[in-house]
Amino acid sequence: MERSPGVLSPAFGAAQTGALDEASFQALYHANAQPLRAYLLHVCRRPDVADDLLQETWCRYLMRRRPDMDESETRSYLFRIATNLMHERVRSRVDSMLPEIPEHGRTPGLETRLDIRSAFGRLKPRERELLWLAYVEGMNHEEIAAATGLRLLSIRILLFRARRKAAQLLTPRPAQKRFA
Amino acid sequence: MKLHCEHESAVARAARTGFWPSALADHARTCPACSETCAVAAALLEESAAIRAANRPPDAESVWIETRRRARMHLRRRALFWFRALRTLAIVYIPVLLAWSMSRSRPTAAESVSSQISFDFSALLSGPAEKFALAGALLAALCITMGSWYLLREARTSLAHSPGR
Repeated sequence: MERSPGVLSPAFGAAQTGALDEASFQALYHANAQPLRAYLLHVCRRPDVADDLLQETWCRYLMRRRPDMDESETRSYLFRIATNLMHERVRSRVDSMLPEIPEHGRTPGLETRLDIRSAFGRLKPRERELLWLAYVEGMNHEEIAAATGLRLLSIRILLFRARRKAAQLLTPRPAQKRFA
Repeated sequence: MKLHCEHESAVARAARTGFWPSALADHARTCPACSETCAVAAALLEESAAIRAANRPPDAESVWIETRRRARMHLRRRALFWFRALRTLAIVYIPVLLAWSMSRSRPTAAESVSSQISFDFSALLSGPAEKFALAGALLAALCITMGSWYLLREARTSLAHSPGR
């Protein structure tokens, strides 16, 4: 079968039967790249590592995707790949000797943001993942289980613990004013 | 504190969208679980907004090009695996074959030199040696076929849209 010039060969995964053209890839990328990158950056806390993992996430997605995936499954699958890549990276300890890259420039609210960042930095990566997926991405427990590979029954308790810990770390910030 | 409140997901959604029905806002003020959820969600959303404002992901085209490059590398690695396997088999196979052929005929040095000129190699490949040679040839053919398959797949991946190459 002859492929058109802008089509990526999908031959690497056994389950792969269709190709993704460049225009479809761009549409998919624009819908998911920013949330994915924000998630990666929040959990791994280094922009260079986040960019590298983002690139690898797309590579793995294109090599292993199933053509019958819908939008929600695709999103979940992308977060799953990103999460697995972060865990692989943590296990390999590639970045353990590198310092976290600080935010440059002074912008309004920077100190508050740094307080928040510092508070979340004291959580475990798994806790940061769970909280982000639940409260920023708005995933339900089933989706979080699919994205993290954890058991569905564990999500509730792990999320509760992570939330408790985060709330304690954020204690100086009054909760009441958020919905006043 | 109770583990879970039934309104927790509604509170998280309200924090995300900024739309607070008055009943839900009243509940969130009094419910410790929802209050905590609200505080954590608000902090995370603030962090998310800051990250998104300060960092833009790489453009789609460069990611696409890099993805194709990595895909080609991936195929090349797979092809190389089979050729390396073939090399390993050859390293094992050739000395074994030589040792076996030498042990089969042990002429003197002078006879050896003269006999090499008119040596009938096909005579060696009889009996158990035939199976051994056939197995080696089949393994070599398998490795070459597998490696070539990946190389051909790589060749079929068009590079027309890859200015980086």
